[in-house]
Amino acid sequence: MSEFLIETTPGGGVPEGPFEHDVDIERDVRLRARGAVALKRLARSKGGMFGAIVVLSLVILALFAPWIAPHDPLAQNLSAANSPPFWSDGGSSDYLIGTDTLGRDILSRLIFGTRVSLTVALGGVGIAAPLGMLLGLIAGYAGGKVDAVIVGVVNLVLSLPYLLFVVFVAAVVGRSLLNVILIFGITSIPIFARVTRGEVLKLRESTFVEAARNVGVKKGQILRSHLLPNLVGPLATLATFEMSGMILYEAGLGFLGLSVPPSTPSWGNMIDAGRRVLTIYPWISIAPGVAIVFAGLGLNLFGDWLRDALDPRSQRVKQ
Amino acid sequence: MVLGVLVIVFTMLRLTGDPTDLLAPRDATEQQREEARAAYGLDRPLTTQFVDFVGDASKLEFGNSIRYKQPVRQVIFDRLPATVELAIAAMIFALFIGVPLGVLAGVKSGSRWDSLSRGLGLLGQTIPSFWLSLVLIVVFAVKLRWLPSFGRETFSIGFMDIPNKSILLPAIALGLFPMAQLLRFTRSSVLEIVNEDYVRIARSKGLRMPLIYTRHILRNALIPLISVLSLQVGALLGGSLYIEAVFSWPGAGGLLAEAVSNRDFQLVQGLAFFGALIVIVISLLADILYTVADPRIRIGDS
Repeated sequence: MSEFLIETTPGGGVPEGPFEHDVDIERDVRLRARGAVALKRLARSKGGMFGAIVVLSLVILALFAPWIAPHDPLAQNLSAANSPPFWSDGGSSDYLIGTDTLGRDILSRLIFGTRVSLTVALGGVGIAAPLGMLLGLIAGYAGGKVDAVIVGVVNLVLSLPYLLFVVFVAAVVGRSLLNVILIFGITSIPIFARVTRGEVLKLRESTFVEAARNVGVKKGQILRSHLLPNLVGPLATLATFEMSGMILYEAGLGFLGLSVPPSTPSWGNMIDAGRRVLTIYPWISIAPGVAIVFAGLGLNLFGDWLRDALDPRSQRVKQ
Repeated sequence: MVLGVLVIVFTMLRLTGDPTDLLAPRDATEQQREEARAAYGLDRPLTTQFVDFVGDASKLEFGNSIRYKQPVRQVIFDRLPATVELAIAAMIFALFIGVPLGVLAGVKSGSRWDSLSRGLGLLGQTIPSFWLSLVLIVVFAVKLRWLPSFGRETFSIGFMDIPNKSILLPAIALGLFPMAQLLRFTRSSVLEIVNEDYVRIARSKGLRMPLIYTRHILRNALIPLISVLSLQVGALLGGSLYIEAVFSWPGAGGLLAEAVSNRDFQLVQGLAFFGALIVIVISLLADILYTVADPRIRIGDS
């Protein structure tokens, strides 16, 4: 199925014009200029800055978790079980935000938990974005019956209560990291398809595409130099928001015991594990939630900034 | 629409493996499995199975819950009122906080109210409701001892059983997400209308601001709210899954969480279908209501 779809990519037939090379250089310069403007604006936007820092630190924590984490996230130390964070009575600097009921270091588990959250978010978007974009392009380009079928399915899936749908599927297929990624990846295809299709329809009617068509630019070239660059902004923004959503939903599944197995530290698992002793040792459940909120805030603010930075129109207005 | 949902539920159940794997114990012999398949009608052609499935679903018949030894429909109906009650309470919370704040933020954009609302809107979207409910329990039930941490307590007025303060915490936890959505929506909707010609004309006519708010801004900003509200129903149902489990609220959401952990698949299937059905019916109702509220829009005209 997917192979078939990839072969029919509308961008497959890119015309080899004589000015190909010059166009590439010109675009390169333009893109670099745009990147510089975006970076400058990032430094000025407090929210965007905060978001970028959070996203960057999440990535670093996930990549270098074994070197950053002060303890083995799985090592149990029953003699130090349920010790509170260092700032409250009985806390020690050995375990900065305390330990759980089995005496495992919460901070280290949080750091390793970023791996699950980011893998799910990146994997999910990695599946949903290209497939959704492809479907959206096909629907927007083909129109007619193909469009109607794709739109119908997309509307159907998007009208379902998402969380119920995801929980239902997760309960049926069983818990594993791969399943969670596949669930989020596949269930998020429709939203990417919808946004892509909407943008394509909007762009197709725009004056610059019409002008390009009128002077005889070929379909593939229009797609490559007019449609795709203008799709990057909305889709990248959608991707960040979707990633924040996936991190939230993954935690939600973990909380229900439907995400990764309990042996893997994940934020949702940790909240669930602390629930039984919530009234005595509240920090066990509270700490992972703070991590989730930070990650969500960071991705949302980053997405807000990305929307402004990657939208060519908003740049022109502000300059 | 409903048929589409049925197709999804059915393929989901069939594509993801042999249902007997879930129903039969691990050490069941192949012959026992065959018998189980025959008993559940799983040995028949898929099309026949699907027709039966649709027929049963149209009668809201989903077999018996493995756990409760009762028809799934009965179990769900017993628990649904508590969920509806909680969802209404959450919606009231969301409306009473989200809409006024959104209007305030939209009218005085750039003010302190605006930044407060934006922060609240952002937090409301990123705070997981199940975690918020744990925090609320720690603060209001354990530390301050103001409110109960679980259960549904009622008092009666005439024939009606009205839940007492025990509904407050779950309603706030469940209402936070829709509150943030309503806030953001109202803000942007008001922002758009403040600059409309008719508002400017009203202002230049010398109408007093309160009159402009109620007659011109609010009325036009709130019509699209109908569809935004109906979109929140899915979020409310999904959220109730967690909130009811955490607060031991005796509703259908908590039932689903429980059914999932008990691997009570008949019940999971019935609840998922029910949830989808409720959402579809409400969005249809919202569409109809919308045309009543705004005569410019006609169904089938889009």
